[in-house]
Amino acid sequence: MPERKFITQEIGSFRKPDYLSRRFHQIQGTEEFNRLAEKATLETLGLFDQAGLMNVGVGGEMFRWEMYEHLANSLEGIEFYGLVRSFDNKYYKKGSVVSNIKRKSSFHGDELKFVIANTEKRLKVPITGPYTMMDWSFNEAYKSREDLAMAYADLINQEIRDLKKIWGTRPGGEMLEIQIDEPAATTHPSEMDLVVDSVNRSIEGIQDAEFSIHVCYSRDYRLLYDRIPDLKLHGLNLEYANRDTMMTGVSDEARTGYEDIAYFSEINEEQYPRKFLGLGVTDVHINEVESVQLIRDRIEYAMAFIENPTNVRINPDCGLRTRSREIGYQKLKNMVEARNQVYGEY
Amino acid sequence: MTEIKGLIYGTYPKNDELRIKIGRWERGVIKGQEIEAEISREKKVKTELFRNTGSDYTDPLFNWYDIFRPFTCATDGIAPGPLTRYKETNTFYRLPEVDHVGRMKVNPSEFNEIEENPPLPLFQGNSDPNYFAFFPSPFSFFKMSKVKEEATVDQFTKGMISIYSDIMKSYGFKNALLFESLPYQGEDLSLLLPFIEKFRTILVTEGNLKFADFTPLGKKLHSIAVTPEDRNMEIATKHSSIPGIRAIDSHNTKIEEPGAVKQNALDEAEKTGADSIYVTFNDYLDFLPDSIAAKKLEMIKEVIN
Repeated sequence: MPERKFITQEIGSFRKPDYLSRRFHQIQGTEEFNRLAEKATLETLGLFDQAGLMNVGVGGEMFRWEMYEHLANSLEGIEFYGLVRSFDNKYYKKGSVVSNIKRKSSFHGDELKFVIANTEKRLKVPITGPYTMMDWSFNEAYKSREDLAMAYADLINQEIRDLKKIWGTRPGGEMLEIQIDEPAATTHPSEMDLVVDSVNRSIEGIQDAEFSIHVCYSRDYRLLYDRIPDLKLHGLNLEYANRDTMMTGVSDEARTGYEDIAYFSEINEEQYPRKFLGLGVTDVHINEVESVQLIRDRIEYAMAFIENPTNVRINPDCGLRTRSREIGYQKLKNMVEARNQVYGEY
Repeated sequence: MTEIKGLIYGTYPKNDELRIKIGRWERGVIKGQEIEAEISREKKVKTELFRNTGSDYTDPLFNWYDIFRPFTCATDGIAPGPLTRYKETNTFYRLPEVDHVGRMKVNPSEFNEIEENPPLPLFQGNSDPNYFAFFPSPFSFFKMSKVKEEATVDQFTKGMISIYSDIMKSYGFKNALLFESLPYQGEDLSLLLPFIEKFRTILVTEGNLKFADFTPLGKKLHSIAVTPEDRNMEIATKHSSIPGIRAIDSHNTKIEEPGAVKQNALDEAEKTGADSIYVTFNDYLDFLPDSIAAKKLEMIKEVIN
């Protein structure tokens, strides 16, 4: 029986080795790209293994440059006119939807095939969600934001069906885990219905898979918690450490970042089965490596509300691509150590 | 015959070359003087481009990391806090953390290196009568900041207006544009009077306006640019010499049809009896790739000519 208590997992991305990141765009689509992305994936799986992670995702998303661009590049109907500012002198590629969108190729099929062949550990495939894809695109072609989000949802549904075929049947009946990444989910409070409808459409009719949603840096998670009964998902993987203090202890004052979990639990108590909560316990935006004690305290504080350890997963706030590989590894290692220390108490 | 005037304001997207150079400055590869010279050169190019559209315009603000940043970083009593989402966009600004509003720590009209932002000066000198100095409205600045409990919007507004006035004087500017990112929530607009009495001012507003907010002003602004709704236009016409409509989308790459924009402007002017009207953007253009922003400028040129 696979372990269900306090599963440790990463969220998605991990810093690429220089040999891949420096040449990524020059060689993308070539044999050499595949060779280097595979090499980087193997090395990252090795690091995750060494850190003791139970779920290794897809090995740090070495086949993907960035969550929006990767998926947009796999579609017809999207043009890139240039970079758009995110903040300061940081920019991202924001596509313009200029005609009806269609898949040119599978978004993550090659990646999944490679990872399946190279690890026996639990996997989780992150896929950028339909609402975020819509919100992060310029819409020149669809009548409304709703129409565009649902069009993305239909394509993501096709993609997940293809990934399920690749997954096939794993020994022990292990299910394919899909994480719908929706960092934009609570950006427009008036559009929460659309978030729910488009996420549900993305997974509609797909059986025997485990679905979660990842949201981070929300101004108000309650918007999301309120919709837990409507989202046809098994769990939520969320960022909390970034909004928490660095003080150790399990007092409310020390654990301000996790106070929302009481509200989550109130809603979750009414659910059958209950949703799992992936707890972000390490901040991906700072180099300081949180101590094992601090991470323990964060888990223990959350456990006062959630109680059942099979409903808790332990992860970083978000993808660790923002940190160096060395710091990313240390953060994961401490996270696993903290989890192992609290394991016996529940 | 109704005159249609164009208005280009706020932070403008940088081209790749300047973006890369600023990246090199961030990494310490090039010095402050050098990046200031590069920014200045590029500002001149874009200013000429704006001027050639026949529009009124502001500085392209290539050295402003966000619309509050130079003030956040160079004013006593204000400091940059965490990155914060700008309204409902995927663009972020450093949350101004306000203790009080003191004076600017450096002369903003000269070369000065400040923390967390490319070097000043704030603006390039410009004596063109079509040039307007850009400032974030103190009301939105206040609402988009984290403010100590005892600091009030009145104190904050008075402090910022005093700073803005000093800047206007130091440059010898006569025209200013105040940009309101958020709708009014009953603020006392008469706090702007010391500024608008001295300078020919365009106020770019957000949301649905109320007559009651503008009645205390008692003086007409040069222009109030509004979301084109009937009541907004009535207010803009009553309280400014030239009403303006925020009719061009700076959050979408689709290029509007110039004829349709022109007709929209003429219809709005006719409804309120205005003999001239500004056509402008619903936000500053920095939400678009620079290639698309350039096309939007071409489009506005067609609208007004």
